[in-house]
Amino acid sequence: MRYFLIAVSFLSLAILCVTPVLYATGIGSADLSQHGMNVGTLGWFAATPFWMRSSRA
Amino acid sequence: MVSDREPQQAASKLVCGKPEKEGGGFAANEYERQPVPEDKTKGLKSFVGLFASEHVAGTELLIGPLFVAAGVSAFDVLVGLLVGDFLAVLSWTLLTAPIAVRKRLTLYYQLEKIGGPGVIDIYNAANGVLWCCIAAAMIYVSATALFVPLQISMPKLDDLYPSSGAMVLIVVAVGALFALIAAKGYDAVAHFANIAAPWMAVTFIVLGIVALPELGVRSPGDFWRVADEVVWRGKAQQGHVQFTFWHVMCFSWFGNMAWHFGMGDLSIFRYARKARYGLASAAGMYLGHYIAWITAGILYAVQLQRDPANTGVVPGPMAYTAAGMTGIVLVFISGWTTANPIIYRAGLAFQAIRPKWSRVRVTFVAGAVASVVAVFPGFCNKFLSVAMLYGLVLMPMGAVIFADHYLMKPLGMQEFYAEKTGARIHWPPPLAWGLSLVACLALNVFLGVQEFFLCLPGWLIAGLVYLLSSKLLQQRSSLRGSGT
Repeated sequence: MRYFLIAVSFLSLAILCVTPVLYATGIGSADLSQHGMNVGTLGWFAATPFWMRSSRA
Repeated sequence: MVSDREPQQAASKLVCGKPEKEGGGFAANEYERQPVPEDKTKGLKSFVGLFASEHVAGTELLIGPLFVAAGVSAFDVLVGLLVGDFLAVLSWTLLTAPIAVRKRLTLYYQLEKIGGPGVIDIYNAANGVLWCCIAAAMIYVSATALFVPLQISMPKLDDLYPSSGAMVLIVVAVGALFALIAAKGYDAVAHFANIAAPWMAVTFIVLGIVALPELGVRSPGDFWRVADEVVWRGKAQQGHVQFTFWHVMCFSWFGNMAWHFGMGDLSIFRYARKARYGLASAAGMYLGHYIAWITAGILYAVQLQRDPANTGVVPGPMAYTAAGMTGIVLVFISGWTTANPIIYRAGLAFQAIRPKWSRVRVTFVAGAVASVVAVFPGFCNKFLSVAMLYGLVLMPMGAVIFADHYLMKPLGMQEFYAEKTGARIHWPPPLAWGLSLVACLALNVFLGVQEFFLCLPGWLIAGLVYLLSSKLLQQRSSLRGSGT
């Protein structure tokens, strides 16, 4: 389960990064970019709290 | 004696914005009054992570646009930041980290040994007030995230007062909420800040990328033309100082002066195995004070391109334009996660002066003061000057620590003089503090030297005054001692 959640977090970050890059390079659209960023943000905050321990605070 | 002083050391429990828990990372609440043992030191990776997460804050969204408003050119900002950030990294590596590794003590404990407990009280009072001001900027940034869904009218760049009653209500409500959470539920937000940190860093970079096509960048080759002609056009907005390469360089060098020249980061680098770990500060500088500032400047350019009359530096709507809901979430979280430790720190600093005061109440009052300041957009529109003044006010104590560490023995004087004499206040440090600030004020008023260029002369003056007054005072006491 832990590895699955870690995978979801990093997949979310990847979506967050890739869709705007696609838009900037003329392959994707502005809408796709915004949806990608929203999905990436949701995915990160849905999965990360369940596997990331507080390391410093 | 130790227990009496513990509350006064409380602010040192916070390291670069976040308090530490026992056993975790840089547990700064341990070894407050003794050197960190060698076996408790940390590796380079810990410092890279800490700096990378701490220097991507809500205020980056104010600074980037204010550079544009100050009329920097593309060369000034892209090269000036590169050089200034490099000088800041060198300052951490060559000034702060070597003293921290050699002594392995917090700034507070070193200051107490040099100037006595009375000096720590003055330092805490100054710190508390300044932290309230910085927290105000964070509260304002977060509150602007709510301006979009609530359709609040935006303040303009030259506005001093709030644009509407609704704006006042939103800012005060956000500030009160942050203050309450900082006072009551600090740990939960600090944990959340850790979770959000990697996402924030990535989203800052992505915001810059997603805004570029709107400015006409279709390929990497277009970037320089657009940067020069559209984003950083080199003409200051009315009421703002015209920035040059030197302004940008000095701002990025001294923007964190309280932490490097001012020795605030002795508290974290006392855990470093080697002094060269100061280089880890590059992670924070180039991510937060290069990429994030550039991104924020690009977002402001998009706003101006859409409506040239819309000159207000309002991070929420600015980020929403480029990234929709993600932009709003970024603005709110980046302001909140950085306001939380700063309000908490302000509370601790005030409580340290009067340990009997309730920590919860003092924290809430500090948050309330910050909220009132945050209501005035004129304060945030002058944030470049506010950030410089923050460093300027605290840096003299860094010069005192530097001079005490390196120069006292070679000049035939004693270091840690207050500890040796048991004085409550040893006057050379407060004298150095006061006179250097008066000298800076004189340079500003009579010679017109702007605040961006005062830090280095101020630091040198503080060191010089400390050495000269120590020489006089220590000589006089030794004469008195030999006479009796």
